[in-house]
Amino acid sequence: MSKEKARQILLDLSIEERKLLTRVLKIERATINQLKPRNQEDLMKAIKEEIK
Amino acid sequence: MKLLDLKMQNFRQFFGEQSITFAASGTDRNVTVIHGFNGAGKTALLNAFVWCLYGETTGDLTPPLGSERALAALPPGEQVTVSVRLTFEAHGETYVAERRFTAQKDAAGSSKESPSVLVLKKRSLTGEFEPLGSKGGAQSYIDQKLPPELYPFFFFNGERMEALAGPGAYDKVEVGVRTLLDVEIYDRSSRHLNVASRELSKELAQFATDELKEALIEQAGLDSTRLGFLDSVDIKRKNIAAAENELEEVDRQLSGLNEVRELIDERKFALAQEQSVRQQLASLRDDKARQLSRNGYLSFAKTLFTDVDNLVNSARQRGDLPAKVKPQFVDDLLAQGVCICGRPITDHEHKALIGWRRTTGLAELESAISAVGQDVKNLEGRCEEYFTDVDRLQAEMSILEADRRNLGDVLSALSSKIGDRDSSGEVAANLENRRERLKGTLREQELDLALIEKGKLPDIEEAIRELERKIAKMKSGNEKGEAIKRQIAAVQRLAVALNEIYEIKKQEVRADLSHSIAEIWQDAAVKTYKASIDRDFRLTLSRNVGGVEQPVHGASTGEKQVLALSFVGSLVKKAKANADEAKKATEAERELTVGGEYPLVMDSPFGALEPDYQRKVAEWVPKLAGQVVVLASKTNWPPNIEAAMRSRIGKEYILELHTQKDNGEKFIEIDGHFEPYVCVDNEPFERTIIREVTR
Repeated sequence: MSKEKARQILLDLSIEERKLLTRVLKIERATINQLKPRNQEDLMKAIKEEIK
Repeated sequence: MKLLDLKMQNFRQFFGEQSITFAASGTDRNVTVIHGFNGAGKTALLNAFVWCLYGETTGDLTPPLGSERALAALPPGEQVTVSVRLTFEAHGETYVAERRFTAQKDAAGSSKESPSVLVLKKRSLTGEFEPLGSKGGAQSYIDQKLPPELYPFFFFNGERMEALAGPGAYDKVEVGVRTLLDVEIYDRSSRHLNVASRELSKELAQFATDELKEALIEQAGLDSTRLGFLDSVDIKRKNIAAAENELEEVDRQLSGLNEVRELIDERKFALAQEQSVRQQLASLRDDKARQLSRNGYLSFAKTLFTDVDNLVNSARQRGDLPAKVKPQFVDDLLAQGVCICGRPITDHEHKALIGWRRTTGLAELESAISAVGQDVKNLEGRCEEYFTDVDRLQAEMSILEADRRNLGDVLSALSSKIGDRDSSGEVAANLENRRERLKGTLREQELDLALIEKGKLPDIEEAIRELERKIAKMKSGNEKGEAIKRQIAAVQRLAVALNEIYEIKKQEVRADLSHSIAEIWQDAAVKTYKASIDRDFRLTLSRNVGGVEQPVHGASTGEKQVLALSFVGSLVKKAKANADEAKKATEAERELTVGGEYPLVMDSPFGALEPDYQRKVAEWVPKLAGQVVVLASKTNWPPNIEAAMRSRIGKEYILELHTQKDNGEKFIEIDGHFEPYVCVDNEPFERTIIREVTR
């Protein structure tokens, strides 16, 4: 039930917002895994590109 | 993570190179048992895992980590390598993690250690081990396989386990839950989205009208106040946890004082009663709230029922509503001209019947009126029941409130007696005063926390949302500004969505763990207590008294240990379930999942258990995880544990202690055979040889 609720919250976002969320999570995951140093610029770039 | 083997070189008591191969994971013989005399190196061995993987040691072991024997034998200017190498499997791949440093002896004879270095290698398709990760990358790979916040649950000293079930340990339990949730990705994403939102707001200000600029300044102010409240919440939570810990310690010290023992016992009894009364009151309040929300409206409808009845009756009398006679009945009387008593109908009666016939034509209306009449009667019945129920609940609550006041007086009198220097002594009086101060601090901090969490914080968050809605409606006056506004709105929606998903998942993980703890506990426990994790992440034991679940006060150390082991078992289970689910999840969902298969390495897990629990826990521990490593001294390995675990042992070792102390050689009985345990020799330094027990 709670899994469905969590999934519904994702589905309630627009397609652009969902794309942006995936990019945000990937940026943060890469930093957590120390694959790449974090840069706020990357996040701002993702926002500008996904939400016009 | 499945442990394959561990190789140590000059690590603590383990001089030279020594190794252990572990029992295979997921088999009927998944247990590796390592026997060792006190000081033979059980704690050092537990720390070999921790140091190899994380470069740190548990509180039970202090450096130096190099072997005394190896350093002593080292000529000046020479160096010796100290290392631990762990081979393990994770997600179907084989890895070797090796941490090492060198110790060099100078001319004066003192040694100097180089910083430790971790190298992680993965077995390639050709079977060769190839290095992984750049500088620092090896550690991050390890942290991914088994997050550092979780290792204290999987590599632990069994004799200290019960601390997890103490009142001050909920933060540790919450850390376990939060790590399984991978809270870091939510925290970071949410925090950085908020930073982005502020940056976008600054950008928007360049394209904004005066009105919009003013609103953006107000928004920044509210945001900063909100952050201040969040900081206060953190501080107050920490203060509460610290006060609870201290209170537990004071209670423990008071329980040990003979002068006040009887009073303390009386207090424990009164506190248990007070707790029970509070629970019953809370349950009655819930019942009353349910009654009010379901039937409360009936209190306002009582006069309406009488009004409806009066209106219908007077309408019938006036002839505005049909009489309660069926049309067919009147038609039959008119056609036959005979009354139902057999007498002929008179002219006067005939006229009256024709009058009635005019008003009996509306059968549907009659039936609707009749239905409404019945509904009103039912509602009147429910209304009576509602008032009776509420009166009963109120009466029960009044009795319980009186009980609570009386118990409060009893507790206050007991506190005065315990705190009386003349009768209880200086130590008890000081402790009791400290206890009262701590309770005061706790009340104050809890009240402050409630005020912020339930009042100030929601209020300011609502004000921010309201302002955000206003800003969204304000026109910036140009296309660039409108695009930034859309970006701000999207970023804010994502931050809210992430917070909502996090809260849902947090409660889901807590509920899953609680359910699994209850099952695991059920399997091992002797008494009919119920184990769970409450909403504040406290491990609790409760029992059913007359249909009401009541907390168990004064659980024994052994019971707390079993409870803590149940929690660890539930973490292992949930981590594995997460990993299995992640295989089926979508890419975005996989980013939000942490899990894996974890082993359990336990130093003296049976130490503090009462004999009743020992055998049960020994039967149950091998089922807690796919792979279990038990380190035990002779006293931790009595015959009942040996009998219960024998069939599950896949690998068995003895840490054979070699010492100069001539206290006599010692032997340990393993599976009916006596094996050397402590050996006396002429070497100047104690050392341990790891010897596999084979038959």
